[in-house]
Amino acid sequence: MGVGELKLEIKRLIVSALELEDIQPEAIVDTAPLFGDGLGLDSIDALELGVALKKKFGVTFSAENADNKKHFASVEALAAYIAMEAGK
Amino acid sequence: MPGVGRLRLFSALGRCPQKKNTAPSRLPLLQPLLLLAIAALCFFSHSPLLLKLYPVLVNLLLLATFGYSLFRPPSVAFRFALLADKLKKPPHKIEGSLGEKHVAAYCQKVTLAWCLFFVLNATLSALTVFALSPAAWALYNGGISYILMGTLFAMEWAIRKMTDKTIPKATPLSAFAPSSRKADTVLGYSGSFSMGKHQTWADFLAGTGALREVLAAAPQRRWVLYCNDAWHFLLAYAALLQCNKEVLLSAHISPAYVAEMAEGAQGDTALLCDEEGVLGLLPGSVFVPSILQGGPPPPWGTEGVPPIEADARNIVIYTSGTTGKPKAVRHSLRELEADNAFVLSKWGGELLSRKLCSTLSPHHIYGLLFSIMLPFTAGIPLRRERIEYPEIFGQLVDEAYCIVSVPAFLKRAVELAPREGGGFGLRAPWVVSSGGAIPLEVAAEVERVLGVWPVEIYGSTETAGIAWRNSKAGPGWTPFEGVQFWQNEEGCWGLKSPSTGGEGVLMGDWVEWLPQGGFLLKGRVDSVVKIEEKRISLVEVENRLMLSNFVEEAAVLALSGKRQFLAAAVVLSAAGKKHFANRNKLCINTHLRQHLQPFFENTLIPKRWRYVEALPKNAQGKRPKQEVEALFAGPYAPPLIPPSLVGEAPPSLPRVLLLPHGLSANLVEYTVDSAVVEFALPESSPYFDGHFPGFKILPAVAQVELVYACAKQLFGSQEAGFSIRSARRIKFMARVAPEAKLRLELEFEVPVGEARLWGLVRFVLKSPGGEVVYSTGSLACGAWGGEL
Repeated sequence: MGVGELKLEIKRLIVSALELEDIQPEAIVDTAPLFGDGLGLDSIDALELGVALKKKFGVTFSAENADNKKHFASVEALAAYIAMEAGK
Repeated sequence: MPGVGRLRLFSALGRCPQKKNTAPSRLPLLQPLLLLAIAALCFFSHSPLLLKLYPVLVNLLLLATFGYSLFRPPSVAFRFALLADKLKKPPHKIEGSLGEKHVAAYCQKVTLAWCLFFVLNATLSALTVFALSPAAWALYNGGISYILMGTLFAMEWAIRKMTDKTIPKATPLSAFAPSSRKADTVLGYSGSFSMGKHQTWADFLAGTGALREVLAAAPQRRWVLYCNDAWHFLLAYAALLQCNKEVLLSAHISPAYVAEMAEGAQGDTALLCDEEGVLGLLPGSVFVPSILQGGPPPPWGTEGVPPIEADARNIVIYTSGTTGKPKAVRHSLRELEADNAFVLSKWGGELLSRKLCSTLSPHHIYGLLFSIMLPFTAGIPLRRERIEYPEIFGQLVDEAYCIVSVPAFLKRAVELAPREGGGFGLRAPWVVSSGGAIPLEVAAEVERVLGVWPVEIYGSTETAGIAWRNSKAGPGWTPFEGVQFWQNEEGCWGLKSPSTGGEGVLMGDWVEWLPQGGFLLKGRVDSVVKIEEKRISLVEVENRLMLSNFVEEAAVLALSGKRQFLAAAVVLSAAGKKHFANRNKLCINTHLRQHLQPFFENTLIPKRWRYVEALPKNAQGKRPKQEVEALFAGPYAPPLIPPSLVGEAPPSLPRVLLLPHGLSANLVEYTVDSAVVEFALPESSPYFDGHFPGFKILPAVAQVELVYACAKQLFGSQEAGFSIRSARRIKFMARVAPEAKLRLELEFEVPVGEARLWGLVRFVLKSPGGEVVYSTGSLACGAWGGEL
């Protein structure tokens, strides 16, 4: 799976798992922050998304992992993390 | 002190006491002391002259006392009237009554009459001292003087009896007699008052008589009363109570609802209405107009009318309740009249000088109390037709009117009011509103347009009136008399009012007490929800949304699907519609979310948005929860964008922006408030010509023009316009040479809560890779008058 494809998959997952309205997966900017300002997701969405990512890509975000926040920063960061985990 | 102590005044004048801040005067104490001093002087001086002058001095002292009180009310006569009134059992309570001002004015005249008498008496008495014999002195001062005084008393008593009839009296339904008012007293009118289509006291007595004949013969005990003509309503209401029937009221009359009202007592429930359309809803229903117009009024004697059992709790008001199922709230006539009595004690004077008109249906407690019972009790004419549109105010310019309304109606009225010529041209109206708080800006608008700050009543179906306020004096609410507050373990406030009796009821609102008395309302108790363990007042989110200049009205509610979240239905303001014209829905969502972000954490910011032309409202101006919820029905409801938001251009943003001189730019990235565009400037571009002879350099003004051209297409409103107001901190750091590839990064910052359609466009012009930054700065751009 190419990086572009992976990013689109993640975007689709975000929209469907979080039941986002009014936004097309394609419209999510790779580097836009997912939380806070950008998509305006909150901590509960983060939990939801974590579950969905695990189901779909088999990646886990353990509680001890201090880098979780970094991985969830944007679609780009998520794609990089997933690609890295897959390459392991 | 001969005679004066027995000065007694006045009889029955209305109801309901009310404390007044009449500062205690030192006069009553001063006067007896002076009198004692004069007496001591006269009797112990052993001077025959002083002794003979005693009556003169007493008269002069009384003249001084009475005369002084004319300039420093309350007048002496009024004080005696109040004192005598308090000693009566039961007291008639002049203070706070409908006629208080009239009584005070009458007493002023009485006091003046006594002043003239004291002048005359002192003069005559002095004459007997100095010019006549001691026998004449004794005859006058010991006899004639007292006879004169007695005559004056008798005359005043006779005049008082006549005047008493002209003093306005509260005549509540529970206590009226056919003789309570003159037959031609106008109680109802159609259209505007001066059109002369009047209903009188005689019509009231005849009409209720006719209705009673029918109702008394009917077997049903429970009657759904549904009359949209206020006059029909008043007559039917009075007749039902006189016949000791149960009055069932609901503003919502649908077959299903009426069936619910009749539930369990089908055979015992009928309908009394003035609309043919609803007649068939229950068997044995009665059509009010046909009875009132059916031939000559029945012979009606002066033997009186059947008394009403005012303590029977037979007035049943149905509300939609929180669950949507009808909820019955019972009241007695006495309870409701206590509410009227307080309102009359407070604002009787305002009402008496006006005719009443109402924008409400009388089928709920506020409409019943204010647009039916209150005018009847005060004896002022009510408008038969409900005012359905603010434009009707334009017809009510012949007289001063009292307008009974709700915030939603007033808000629309001030919006629709003609800007010139004093709004609708209403003459010194008095406005009372209930059903919800009026936002300060709207109250101020009402004052600007109608010329008066609305008096707001806070109450509920269960409690009737609880408190009132006039926003001019501040946001605090002052409790009605007779309302007692208590607090439960959870910190919620409850209250006991004449209408609740017993323990009272829990209030639906959070309350904050003010140190100076009164309280603030801090949102509905049931509007406080928990979203994923976080407490939030929906009203707070709504209020915060409404602080945005782009939002007219907002309804926020908690929904849950996979998770709990807030959802907002928003009516955009005119400015908002302009600003977001042709923008997609996400763009509006994002703007409003960013507007809320400084105040709420993300979890408490609405996740679903609906943009509607108007929020669902019922006739009382309340917002039915289910209908707002219905806006969000379905997990993926299609975007609801009001038609007014869709213009001619396609709602999506073009990927290519057009620049001056035939240039174009590619839109690389775009969010609602930021964008990145890339473009190239060919050497042939006119931009490179003329400014610097011999050099092909992009001039500063051209850079600004390019930034503005992009910003206008990205952030500007087509309708409102978008122009540069000022430039700020623009730095030109490197020369732009021909054929340069340029990357322009733009951010648009709209000030939160700013009233104008403008914002700050920040830009960075650089090379695509970011190695060279050509210029940076910001431009204040907007629709009009933006300043930094």
